Amino acid sequence: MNCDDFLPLLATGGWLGRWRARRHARRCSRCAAAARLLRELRADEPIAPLPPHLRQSWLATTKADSDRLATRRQLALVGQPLGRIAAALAVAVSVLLLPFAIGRWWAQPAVNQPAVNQPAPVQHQAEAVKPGPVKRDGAGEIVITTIEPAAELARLREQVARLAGDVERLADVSRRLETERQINELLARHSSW
Amino acid sequence: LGDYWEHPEFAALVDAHGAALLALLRRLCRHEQHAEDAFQETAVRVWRSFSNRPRLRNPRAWLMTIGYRAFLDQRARVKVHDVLIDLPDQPRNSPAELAANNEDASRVRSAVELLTEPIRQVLTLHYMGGLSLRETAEAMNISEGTVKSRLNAGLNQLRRCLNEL
Repeated sequence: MNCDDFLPLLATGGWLGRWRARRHARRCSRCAAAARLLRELRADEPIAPLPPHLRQSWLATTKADSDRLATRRQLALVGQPLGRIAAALAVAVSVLLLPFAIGRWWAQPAVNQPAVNQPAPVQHQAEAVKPGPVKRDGAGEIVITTIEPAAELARLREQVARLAGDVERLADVSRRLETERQINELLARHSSW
Repeated sequence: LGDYWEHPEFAALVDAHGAALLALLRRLCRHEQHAEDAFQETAVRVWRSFSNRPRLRNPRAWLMTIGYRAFLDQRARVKVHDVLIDLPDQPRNSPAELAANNEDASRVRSAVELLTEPIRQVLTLHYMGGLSLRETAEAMNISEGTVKSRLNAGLNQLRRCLNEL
């Protein structure tokens, strides 16, 4: 046992602990002084009998608290039926409104609503005169034209062939112009002839 | 819960340990009125949890722990600590013994007043309240090692103070 354990053992130890502490105090003057100090601490304020008014207030606590609890129970009993009625009303209203809401949802046709600020598309099929992709008219209306794939392909091929002919023609023109430019240069160089 | 005559143990508790509880609270609060307030608050708490604890192993420690918690809550409410002014008349020993002990008592009381709050609380609970190290640690929500170190620090401080006084 060391000096650190002495006071705790002396204060709250069992009989064996207290005996060991007393034996330690006989050999250790420091701990003996500490034990004297502890006795002084305890003797400093001996426990006085409980004043009668505090004992009375302790016992009265039971009555006051019981009354308070009884009041709470009464309030709870008063509040309980009101809460039940409110809950029953809420359930009844929900039950009445639910079929109505489901019926409205069922009766409503599924329509794809356009987005806000987005004009609704208008479909023109056979009356389309000129084939082409999507057009937007002056009023901001989108015109969708249906195209014939084979005719459109033939038209595109014809355009490609025409463009190829144009390229060939332009190449001839370019070659002719280049030849003409070379002839002019040659003539200018030998103008003295 | 019913009235106290339905729980005679409740009345027996205050008869057996009420005085010690009040002494502990006086030590902790250092103010007579605050000590009595904490005592009454303890009574309410004990009564409310009394029916849940029909068999108490250590009723004194249980009571002291509840009293300490009531003191802590009261201290949180009442920030100002006044020094205990109106100590009740102590009963006790003969006038000659009182006179002989008076000097030592005032010396010790002054020394205890100089301790820091946590150390004073540990000393009060352990030595005055009679709580064991474990019970003191549980009441204060600290470890037993901390209780031991505070006890030692407190007693060393007291030794020094008493040598100086």
